[in-house]
Amino acid sequence: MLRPFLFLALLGPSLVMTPTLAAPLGPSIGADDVPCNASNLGDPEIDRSPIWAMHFGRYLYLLGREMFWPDLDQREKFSIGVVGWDDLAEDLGTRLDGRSIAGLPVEIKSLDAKTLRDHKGDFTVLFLSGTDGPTPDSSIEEALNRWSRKKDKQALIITDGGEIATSDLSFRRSGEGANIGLCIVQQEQNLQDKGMALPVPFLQRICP
Amino acid sequence: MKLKSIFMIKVATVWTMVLLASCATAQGRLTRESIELSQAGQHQKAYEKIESAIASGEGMDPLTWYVKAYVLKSIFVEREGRHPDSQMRTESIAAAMESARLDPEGRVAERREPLLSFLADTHLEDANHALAMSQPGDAHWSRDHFEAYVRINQHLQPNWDSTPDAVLLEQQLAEYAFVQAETQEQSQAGPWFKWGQVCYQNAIALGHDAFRSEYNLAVHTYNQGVRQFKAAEDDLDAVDTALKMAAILWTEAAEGLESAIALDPKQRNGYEALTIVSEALLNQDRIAWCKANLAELGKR
Repeated sequence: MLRPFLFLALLGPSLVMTPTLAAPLGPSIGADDVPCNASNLGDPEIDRSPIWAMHFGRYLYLLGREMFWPDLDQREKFSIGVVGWDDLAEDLGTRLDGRSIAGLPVEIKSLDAKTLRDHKGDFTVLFLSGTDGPTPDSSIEEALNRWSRKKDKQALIITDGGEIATSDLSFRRSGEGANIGLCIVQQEQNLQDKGMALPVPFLQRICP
Repeated sequence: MKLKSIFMIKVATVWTMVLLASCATAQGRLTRESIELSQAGQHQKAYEKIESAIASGEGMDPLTWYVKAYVLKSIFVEREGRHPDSQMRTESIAAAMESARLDPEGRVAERREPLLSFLADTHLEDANHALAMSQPGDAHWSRDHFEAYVRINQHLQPNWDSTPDAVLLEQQLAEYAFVQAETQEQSQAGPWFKWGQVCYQNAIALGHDAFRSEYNLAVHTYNQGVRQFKAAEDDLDAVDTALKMAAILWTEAAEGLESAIALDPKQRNGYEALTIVSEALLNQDRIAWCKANLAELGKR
């Protein structure tokens, strides 16, 4: 009497869908080895790392490592001031965390024009950003002049490409597209006055 | 109690009439016994019984083949736990196809099609799971399952377009490859990265959802350049070489993003990404162009 019900139940489309919806991975496909949930792969996020801050940071670190620094024994730390480029200061902080340059612990200071003007102490290296491009930040040069007037400053002054009379070096972005890089402009007289000379690898990168 | 019994009898009578009307020719004895066994959870016996039914002459009935397909599907699901390599599933699909061949009027179609559709979906799931088994240059696990999924759907709907699903599969293969490239940066990044590119190029060639494929490929290409750039810092030569090598990838990424923007100039993320890439490449004109377009889109 109830056989037709069996038949009907078996044929009903709803039964087709009754099995559990989760499809477990069988042993042959190595479920334990699956490194990520392949079905949940999302779209990628672009890497927003500050490329040029990192590149300048490497140049600064390598310069610090390879340069001869006069009178370094009179300093307690290797102090790097970075004006107007937080990403660079952060990159240097990360890069040099726990490391030393010329045997001295490294200190990174992130500054703007105002804090540079008010700063009383010296640096080992002072890097100035915002000096390049079609509209260089004139407040930077003004702050530099005010800062350097106080006491005798021996910091190696580097700009991000702009020409400032009291600077010693410029790291200048060059090229475009696949031919990009940094080249270096040196103010030889300024460097000599401070008893410094560029290491060879940097001399090989003088701007044409 | 008596009323309940009367009600049950009436219901049974109605269902029996419905069944007789719709399945009048589909009640071979062995087929029916197979159904009972299957319903009792005795799938192996049900399978043997339905094979006997087919061998004994009931095999001319499309319903018998449908029951075979159902029994095999039950074994695939309940006994084999939907194992991706299941032979039972393959045979279930073949039985359902045979049922369809014997059923030009579509008498059993209403029952058969959901079964086939379910089996197709299990293949799609397996194609997805098998992404994790792919290797550079070899995604046959995923593609075999996907082809089975396509074959069934094209049987169910001859005009069914597999392109969107095919594109999604290629995109997922590519994404999996790029994840591997990133996690195996030191040893195996190159082959995985190239394989990811191939899969996205396959997706782009299919012409569906092409902005996403172009954009994602460009972003991965840029990111790979950034990773390579970050890896070198020992000396000035290494640092400069890393920048130049990365710039080759970034240039490719910029071209990809320009292609993506050409496909859909109203997507903000295309311009935003191209701004980042152009800043790395010191391309001031393109930065200005992207910013102008973003400002224009912002006004709308």
